[in-house]
Amino acid sequence: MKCREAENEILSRFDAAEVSLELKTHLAGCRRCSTLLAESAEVDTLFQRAAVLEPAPFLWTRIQNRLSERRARNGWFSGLVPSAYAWATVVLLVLLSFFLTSVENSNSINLDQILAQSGLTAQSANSNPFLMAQTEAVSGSNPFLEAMMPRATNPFEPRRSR
Amino acid sequence: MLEKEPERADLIKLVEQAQSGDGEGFRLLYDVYSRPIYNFVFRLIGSIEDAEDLTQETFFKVFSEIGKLRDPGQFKFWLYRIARNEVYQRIRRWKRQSEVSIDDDGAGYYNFLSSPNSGMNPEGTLLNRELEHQIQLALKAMPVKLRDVFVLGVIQKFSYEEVTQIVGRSLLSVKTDIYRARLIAKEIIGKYVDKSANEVPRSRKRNS
Repeated sequence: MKCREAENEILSRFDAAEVSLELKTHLAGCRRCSTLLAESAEVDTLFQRAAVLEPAPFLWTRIQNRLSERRARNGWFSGLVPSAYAWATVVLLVLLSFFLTSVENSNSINLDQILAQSGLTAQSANSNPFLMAQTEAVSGSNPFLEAMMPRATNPFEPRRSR
Repeated sequence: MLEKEPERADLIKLVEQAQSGDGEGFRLLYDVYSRPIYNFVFRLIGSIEDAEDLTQETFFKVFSEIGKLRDPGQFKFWLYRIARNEVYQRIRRWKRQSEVSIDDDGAGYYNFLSSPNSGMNPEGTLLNRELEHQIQLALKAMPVKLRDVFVLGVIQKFSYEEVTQIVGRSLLSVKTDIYRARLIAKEIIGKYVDKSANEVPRSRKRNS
């Protein structure tokens, strides 16, 4: 071990008992590092002789009073009351579900209304492929049918006698 | 009254007692840890008034949030982390307010020595005044980051592992900080050591 490494270990140790075997070997042959260790230990001892202060007795009373005030303010149910974050989450979820429901309603197709506009009944629409296609075209869900159906004639329509 | 640090199993019981809302549990935990926390905070902040205030804040926070502590065996480190955070917050506030570093400010740092409420034994006060002054000067000369590691490791004799848990830094970083802190301490206290060593023989000569 070199002096530089020894100095590192001496000054970064926490307890004199933690000195490594390598350092011990180095110290046996190095007066400078031995002095550094002795001085450093002496400085530590001085710091450890620093006065141990007693906290003032009123501190506990103050803490107790603050805890009692807090308990009284929050009441017995304080532990059961959800936090502000929980309330915010619930409100957000309600708003989101309301928004999604309204979007779904605006996109939904009222089939009965379409059939009524075309002067048809649900039974006739289901039995006639042309009418089914026409219903889909009117609903706007199929752009191809929407474009093509106005030009098409109903092949199932009974021919009018001239 | 319980003042010695309890064994791990007893500590866990005490913390669980406090977590269930038992006031006696709070009181016992306060009796055990108030003195070390108060001294830790005082050595970091350097003023009796602020140390009292921050100790109060620390224990109020700890008892308010003790239900959130998952591992009661970690109580001591959790408590020290809260105390340390309180000190850092106060220092940050001082810096914002005065834009003066804690290391060279006038925020009542060393009024401890002249304070009648210092808690020091009156007989020992005179004898220790010079040493206390030097200790506080040395701590004042250290940046806060070095000061907390030094106070925990050297004055409060925590192990490396315990200090890394409290300060949340790596072992290497803690070792580097303690190294740098010791150089500063040696620079300031070393003079005192030499001075007192020289003074002893002189006073003996005068007495003889």
